[in-house]
Amino acid sequence: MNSNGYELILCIVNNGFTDLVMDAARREGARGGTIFHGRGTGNPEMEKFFGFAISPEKEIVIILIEKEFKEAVLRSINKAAGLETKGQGIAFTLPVSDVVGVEEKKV
Amino acid sequence: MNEISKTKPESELARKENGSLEKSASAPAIAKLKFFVTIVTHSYQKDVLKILKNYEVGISFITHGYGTGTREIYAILGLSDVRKDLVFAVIKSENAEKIKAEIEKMFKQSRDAKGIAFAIDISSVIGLSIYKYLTNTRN
Repeated sequence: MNSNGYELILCIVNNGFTDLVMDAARREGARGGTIFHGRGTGNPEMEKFFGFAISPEKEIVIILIEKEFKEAVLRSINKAAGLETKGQGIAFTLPVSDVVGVEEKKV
Repeated sequence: MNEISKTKPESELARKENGSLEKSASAPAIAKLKFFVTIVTHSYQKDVLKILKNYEVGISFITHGYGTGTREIYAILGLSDVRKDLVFAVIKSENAEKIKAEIEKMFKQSRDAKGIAFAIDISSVIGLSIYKYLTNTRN
């Protein structure tokens, strides 16, 4: 497996909190990410309470990052937009292979 | 909780099936799968799909997103459009290198089609029919 030394950070946050996530990630060495929309399916109680379907809007931030920055970026994201903040973010990483289109960071 | 306890033995079964298949000569070899993600400039998803089509890709899923690269970089590159197409596809592991090379070539050759691509290993699939569906080998 050609791992290239990269990992993918996936962060699911409440709508409107992606800036916090990206700022936190950039502080620790991330360069860019991609955002797309999603809907949460947790908390079925909400639906019953209001009588109609409400699905909480979520945004997903994906950041491809060198392994050495992973830990620091994850911690930073968790601090800025983790479950204890209004962002209610969940972040995790996945090992990736066959990475294309990322230039090595110049030291 | 029920769901977890139901699915766990099944996923173990799949693993056992995989292991035993390697030993038995009569059964066809099961190719490992990868989840291939390509993030490309908006409207270039067709070019990505064209490449994937040559490699027996059974399913692909496209969604839209936007890049968060720094504004300065976008300005230097002369890009004002931050919209991206995300193409998710399931590919066979053996084709990963070739697909990667073709995508890389596309990024290099095209002035506008820029992006990144990567693959994530798929650890288990439940059901032969789903496996066949994913690998586009239903017939």
